[in-house]
Amino acid sequence: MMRNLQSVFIGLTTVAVGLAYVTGHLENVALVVVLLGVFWITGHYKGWNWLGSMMFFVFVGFCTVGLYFNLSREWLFVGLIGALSAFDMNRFEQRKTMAGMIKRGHDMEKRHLFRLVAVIFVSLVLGIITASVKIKIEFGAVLTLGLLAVLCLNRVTVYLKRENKDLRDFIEI
Amino acid sequence: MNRPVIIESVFYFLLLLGLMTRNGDVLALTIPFAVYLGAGIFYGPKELRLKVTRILPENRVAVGRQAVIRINLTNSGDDLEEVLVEDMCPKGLDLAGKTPNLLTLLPAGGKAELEYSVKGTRGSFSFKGVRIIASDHLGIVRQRMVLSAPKELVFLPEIPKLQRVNIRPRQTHGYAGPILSRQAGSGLDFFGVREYQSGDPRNRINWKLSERHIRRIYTNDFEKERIADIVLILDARMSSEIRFSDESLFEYAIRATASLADGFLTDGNRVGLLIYGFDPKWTFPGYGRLHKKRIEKALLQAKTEEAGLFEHMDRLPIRRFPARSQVVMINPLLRDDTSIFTRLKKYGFEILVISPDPIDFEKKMITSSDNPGILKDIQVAARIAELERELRIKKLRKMGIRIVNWQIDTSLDRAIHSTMGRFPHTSHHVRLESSS
Repeated sequence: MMRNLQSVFIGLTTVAVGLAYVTGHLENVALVVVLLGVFWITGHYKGWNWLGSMMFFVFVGFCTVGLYFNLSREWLFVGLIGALSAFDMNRFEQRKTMAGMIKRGHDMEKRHLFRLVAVIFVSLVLGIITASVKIKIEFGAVLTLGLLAVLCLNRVTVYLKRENKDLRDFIEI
Repeated sequence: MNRPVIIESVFYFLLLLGLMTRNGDVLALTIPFAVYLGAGIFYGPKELRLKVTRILPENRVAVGRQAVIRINLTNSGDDLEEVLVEDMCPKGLDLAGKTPNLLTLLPAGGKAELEYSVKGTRGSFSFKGVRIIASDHLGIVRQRMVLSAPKELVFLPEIPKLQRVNIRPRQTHGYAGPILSRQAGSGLDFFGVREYQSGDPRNRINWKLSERHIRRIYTNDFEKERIADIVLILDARMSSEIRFSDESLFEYAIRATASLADGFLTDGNRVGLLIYGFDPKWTFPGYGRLHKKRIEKALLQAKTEEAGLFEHMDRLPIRRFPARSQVVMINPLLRDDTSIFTRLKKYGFEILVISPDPIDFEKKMITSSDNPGILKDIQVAARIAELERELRIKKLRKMGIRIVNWQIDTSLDRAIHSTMGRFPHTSHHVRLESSS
């Protein structure tokens, strides 16, 4: 079920991002998006695990760039959610493959999907709300938020370091 | 790169980009990532309270057979949405099919069981811990821990049972056993005849001999059966080893040593073991079941190595052996090994050599490989080596050393008993005092 659903999300992303580019009269880019989408689905069925993360980055890139070309932000938002969902399912499949033996797998899959659906639903609701909200940010606020973002990035670095330390501990044991 | 890092990186990249370019739409793109990360953090595992037990239905398994390993995990903490159990399998074990990992969900008070099988080569393998990685469904927050679950798994070579090996050391102990002691007394084997003494049982009187002597009665003497000291010497020098993929001559030597030790100890003898290699390992002579385990352990750890200082058998630590005991050497009889036998004889040891035939072993292995071009040359070389070995064995037999030339495709038991049958070692003599 998870496998087929992942294809559905890849398809959804491709269609949404492609449509955003078509409506913005960038048919050539839309064609590239569709070709990449087909490649992603092919890779998914062929079991190329490395492709999932790569295509996720590519489609996030298409969504971000699309916004600077004033393309339909609704389609791009849907495309981004689709890419995130496909990426999540790809990682879940990878975890299952790596584990080898799985118990209560059906239960786990079901709960995972519920969680993902909840995330999608909340994201869409918040997306709709933000579409109707307009906040003017002054330079000072931007600077503050920028600093906050830098601090958060610092947290990512700390997290990465901790992860590596954990791995070292495991190796020592 | 793992998932939380990817998601966090994209999230912060979009956030920074949106702020720098003051683009609200780009900022809006961070929402799904923020929700995704938030859900992970909210539902992530807080504290792990897990208990793990490892069960080995059999902790001593024959080489070639599969050993089952079972790990039971009990959760006495909160619900765990995703738990990955990874058993830290010792190096050298081959997994038979399933991996030693299990992915499951574990509710509060729940239990999970991981079962897998392994195969191994001869040796002892110690399991240490089980690695646990618990995370939320989205795999954002992960808690890791290693729980200790130590157990020892032993892969034993198949040890064929042997019939009693007839040995005759120069010296025996005072306790009753199966070995002929070269002394008259109660026993089963005829030893000699002596003049009747009061108290001798009537059924021991030799009537035929007594008839021929006037007024003299003779009694049969039997040979006392006692236990003895036996020293097993396993040659673990690299030069004695021949290995072809899975087949190893040394492994056959180990099986033979184990069988002999088992047989001698079962008969009640005191058995010592010397594994002669780079660092000769000496197991002091002892009796009984516990000592059998000691010898088994030493044999499990035995491996061939470049012997260095001990490359020649002449360095054998003879002084450690019990005086005038029986030495059983498991050795392929290399060219330079013959001199040690003279020395052992000189010190009063009785020697039995179990010699796995290296030429026969190698010949069979090469013949079975696909090398038809050089097959004829190999046959000629093998014949020369065989002749050389035959001469060596002949020379040693002349010295009074019993040698079992064991071609490993025949059973050791048959090899020993056919050889021992052909070369009787004992000679019974009748002592008859002249009548005056």
